[in-house]
Amino acid sequence: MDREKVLQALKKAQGEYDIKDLDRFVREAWEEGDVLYAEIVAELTERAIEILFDQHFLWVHIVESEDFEEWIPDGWYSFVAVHPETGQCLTFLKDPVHSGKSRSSFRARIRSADDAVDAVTRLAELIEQNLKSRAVE
Amino acid sequence: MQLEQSTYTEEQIKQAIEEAWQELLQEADAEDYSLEEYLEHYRKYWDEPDFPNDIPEIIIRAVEKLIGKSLAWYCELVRDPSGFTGEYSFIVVDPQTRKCLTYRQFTFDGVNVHYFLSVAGTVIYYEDIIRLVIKLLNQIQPELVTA
Repeated sequence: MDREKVLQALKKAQGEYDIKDLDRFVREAWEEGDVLYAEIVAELTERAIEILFDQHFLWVHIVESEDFEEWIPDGWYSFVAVHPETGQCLTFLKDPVHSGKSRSSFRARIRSADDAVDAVTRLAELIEQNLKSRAVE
Repeated sequence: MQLEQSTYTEEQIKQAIEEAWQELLQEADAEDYSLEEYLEHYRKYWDEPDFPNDIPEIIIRAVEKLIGKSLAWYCELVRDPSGFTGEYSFIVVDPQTRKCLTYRQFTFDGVNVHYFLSVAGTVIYYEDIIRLVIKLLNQIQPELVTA
């Protein structure tokens, strides 16, 4: 996935959310453990993907937390994307660690603008792969 | 216990849950204790990280045993401002077709379409596990047939 395209998509999404400084916003979500900010980081990631593919997907995201009781975001996020027309899971992945196992979610650490670029790039590549390989394996 | 209708008998479902539980015990090299005993502790200490994570494993493994097929899945532990609510929200995918088996859309008014990606349920007691297994089976089985 072209980095320049990813940057443009993130910038456009950032504008939609009226975020002036993406790096600062993402860092605050993590460093200050702000759940609301973290939710927006997740939505921004999803929106950047939709801009890249020029279509809407159905999403579930989880703002992860190390602290189970207090739920303070730790900068990790999980995403599940589904194609609204075909019902295909676009974040499906054969688990490279446990052979024979597979996962339905994409997980990424997003603690800075660079991390966001990396996450959107990898997520877009995964979605692209899934869109291409619709046939039964 | 009043259960939703299922193509499996209550005994078959209980057996699958028990097998899933025994597997988890063996993998954790844990001492032998019953799922009911475990759930007693779970009800007291469910806000500790390890406890809720075992529940989705038990449920999905039981479902996999009953349908005879491995699944790709994701489970969200649902929270509200006071913490974990006891509710588990499952997204299940057929690894062969990559189809999201818990995805459904419907309309209440014929105009607005509502989309759901997950099947959810609260687990407090053993019966809740059975109910959630049945709920998942009822959702994913027709999808498996048409996939």
